[in-house]
Amino acid sequence: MTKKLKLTDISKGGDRPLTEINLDELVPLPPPYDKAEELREFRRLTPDQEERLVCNLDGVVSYAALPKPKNKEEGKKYVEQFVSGLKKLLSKENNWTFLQPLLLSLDYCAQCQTCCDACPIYLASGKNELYRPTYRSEIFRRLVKKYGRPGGRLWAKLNGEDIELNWATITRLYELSYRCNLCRRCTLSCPMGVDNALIAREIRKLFSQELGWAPKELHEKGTVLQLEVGSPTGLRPNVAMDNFKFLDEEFSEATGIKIETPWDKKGADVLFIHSAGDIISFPEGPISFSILCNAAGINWTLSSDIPGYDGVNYGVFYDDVQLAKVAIRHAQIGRKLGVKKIVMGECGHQHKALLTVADRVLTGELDIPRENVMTFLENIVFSGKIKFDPQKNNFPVTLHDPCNLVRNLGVVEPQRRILRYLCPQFREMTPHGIDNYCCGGGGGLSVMSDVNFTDWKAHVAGRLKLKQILEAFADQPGPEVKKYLCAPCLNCKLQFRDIFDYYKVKERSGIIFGGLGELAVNAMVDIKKPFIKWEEP
Amino acid sequence: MAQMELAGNMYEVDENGFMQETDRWTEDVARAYAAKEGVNEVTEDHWKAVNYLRNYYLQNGICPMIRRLIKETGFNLSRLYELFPQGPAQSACKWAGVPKPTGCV
Amino acid sequence: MSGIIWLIFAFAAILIFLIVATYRTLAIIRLPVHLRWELAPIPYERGKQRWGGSYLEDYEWWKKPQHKSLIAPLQYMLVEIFLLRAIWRHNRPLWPLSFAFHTGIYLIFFMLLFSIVSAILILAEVPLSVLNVFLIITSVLALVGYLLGGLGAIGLILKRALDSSLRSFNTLSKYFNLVFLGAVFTSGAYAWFSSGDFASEMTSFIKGLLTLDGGMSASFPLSLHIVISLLFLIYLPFTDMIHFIAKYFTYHEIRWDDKPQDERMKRQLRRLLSQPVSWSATHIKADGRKNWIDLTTRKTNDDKEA
Repeated sequence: MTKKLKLTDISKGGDRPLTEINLDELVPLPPPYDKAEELREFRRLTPDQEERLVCNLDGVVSYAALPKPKNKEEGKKYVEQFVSGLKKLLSKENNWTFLQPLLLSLDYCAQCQTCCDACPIYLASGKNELYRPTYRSEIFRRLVKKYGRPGGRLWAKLNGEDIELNWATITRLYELSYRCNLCRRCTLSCPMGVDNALIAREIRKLFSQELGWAPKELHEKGTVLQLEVGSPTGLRPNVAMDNFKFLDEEFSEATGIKIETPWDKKGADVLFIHSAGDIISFPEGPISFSILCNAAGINWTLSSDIPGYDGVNYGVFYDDVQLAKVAIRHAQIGRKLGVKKIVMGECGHQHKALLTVADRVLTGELDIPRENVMTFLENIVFSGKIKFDPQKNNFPVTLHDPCNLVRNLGVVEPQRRILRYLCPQFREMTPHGIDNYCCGGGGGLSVMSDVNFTDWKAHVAGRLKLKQILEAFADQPGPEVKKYLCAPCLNCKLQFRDIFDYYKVKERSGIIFGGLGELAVNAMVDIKKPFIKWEEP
Repeated sequence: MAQMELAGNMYEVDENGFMQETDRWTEDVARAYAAKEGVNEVTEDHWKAVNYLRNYYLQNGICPMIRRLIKETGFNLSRLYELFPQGPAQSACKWAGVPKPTGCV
Repeated sequence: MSGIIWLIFAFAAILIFLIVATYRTLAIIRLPVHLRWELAPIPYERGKQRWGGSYLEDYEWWKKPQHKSLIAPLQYMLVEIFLLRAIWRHNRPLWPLSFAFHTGIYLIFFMLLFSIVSAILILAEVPLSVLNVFLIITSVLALVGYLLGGLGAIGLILKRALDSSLRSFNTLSKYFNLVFLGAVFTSGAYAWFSSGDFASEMTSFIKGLLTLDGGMSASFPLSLHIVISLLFLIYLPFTDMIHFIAKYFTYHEIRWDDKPQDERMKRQLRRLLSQPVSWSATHIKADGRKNWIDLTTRKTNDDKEA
């Protein structure tokens, strides 16, 4: 590893990365993934990319469109915008949404570094200084004190906490804010209650809401696309309905049960909002809910309004205005259909956005009851309306806790009660519940794949998670025993898809992943053929 | 934006090599992509998948789900991986000149 | 030092501390209501403490009355404050020093309370046997407090200076704060060991303050200790060492703030959403006049696909 990084290094040597990723410096994985030379190589930038792109952090680029200034004046202009954004972040009008949490986190950190050993990215990287939660937060904190408070510059010099603000500082800070999963494990461990994930998000917000810098997967092809056509996937309403009808037919044939998914049913009790990506990439998930809701006799519906069939809300990762826009649209659609409650599909951040973070933006008649998928599913499974045979799920199963559902919402036990009932070989990972490790795709990272970002996610961000999964199945590690990783969150499943692809986990360890709905349907007595497919179609 | 030479012309591509100007696609572009992945002969089977994919995208604004591709072409997943070295999502979409899928897919 | 000067100095120091600490506390309280950003475990929930679940786990929670335990958050905070639970769990190597340091502070605080009680007992002319109990407790609390606190402070200064993971974050004020507080403890230990009967001396000083005794005085060691302590008291509320106040808010107002909207909050939110937005990014289309509601809502339309 390069020399010990100092806080002031953030402003120096503007074009060169501060550090680089070497696979043999990362935390080792258990066999058969323990030999670094046998693992997939970490993709470096090509010379052409190095010339065109801003790559001055860690050899990884998540935002290829980060503008390279043509001259010093342009660079200065961006720096001035950063300062103006910083001031807005500290104002009531522009940031009432998170002002109190932000100020408390900025003002009361004791720099004791207790949070760092809780951060899965910092640990997995082999304790690379750059990925310390406090490295990013402290730099931002000092900049806030210097430019946002009276007498800031003088104080910074007197107290030995001066950070130079230049082009390198802001571009590195931008990229560094996307090296955090927003999992908030650091917050949980902080004696003071300081929230480094919040600071990372506020940095992202500053860049997005003032300079318009945000990953295109989250913004231009994210929230903006969703508000325009219905989903960041580009799935339009008629295509969504058409695809679902196709799935209804396919799975009706496969299961022997007539599956019909209702759309736009006015006055239904429940509006269910899936993550549209599930429809395209993991259709067993949404279909399992169609089967379960119908079998339990629930009066439910999907919506084909834009964006009522896609519950994702990337604004929760980087931008309050976008967060509010999407959440309000979702609530308006529920109101229009006259449902009694909105239930989320299996997606963690979707829950966090609509159930908690955006809750206070939904005022008046938009404050419609919203429920999480685990509680909803638990009610179905234990209602007695469907007969289950747990022996159909008699294979090793472990549970990945999506951070947003568990640590950020406090929904821990319902999914476990279901798993203990339906899966005789269910075992927990260590640590689990509110102490879980993030999959590595949290904070919006799982949908970001520009340049070589996926390499970073699979090798660094998701490393501790992979280690955990392998350890949970350590009693039967070989590929001959088929094992199921229950990951009830679409973003987590995407991250697992990347990790499993990089390390060939299915082939070498016999592990597949999927949601909770599929496990429930797999255990249904009325469905004769197994619902979970261990081999590809 | 990056540039890539395909079949003698320069095209705008993203950092993963996906074409950004979908309407400039030609069959030669598909062959050029295939050659880059070591597939020197683009067969009828390849075209079946690529054409279905491209037409679906142009009609619906999104790539078809795997199940649809499998049903329409009659190829199972292993066959698709035989035809397209990096799989249908990466290779076939690229050869068909459609942009990289965004969002949670 | 003359008694009058002691009185002015002591009460001014206490007053400054109270005014500035109150001002900073109010500054936190007056910040607008924020979006929910809670973090499990939420200790309020009855029956869910083992796994730290929230009310959101309950089926159709909005139809049920919320059962909040009042004891549980208190228990949680007491364990956190006195036993430093978070540091014990997540940063064990730091715990002995931090525990010694903080326990020193708490013991000195209790020592002052006992000393005040002793002073009142003297004024109330209670029998010597009763008074002696309080004086002995005062003396023991002082000794243990000054020693633990002093050792903790010295240890923390060394740790900050020598530990490579901490060193790069140090600033002048960090060292200064520790040295200052360390001086409070060491001057206190010096006063304790120099005195024949520390508890009586301290109690007599406090009695002087309580009775506004213009003739009050103290020995040199005790005077030194009290001067350093009063100066520290004046300095304290201007620094981030008042994290003991902020901590109430980071826990209760943020981590454990999972309240659904009530009438008062709805009023506040309506007001906040009507504030103008001036962010510059093009996707926001703010002009400094449009407010949050203007920018984030539009009429529901019935258009289906484009």
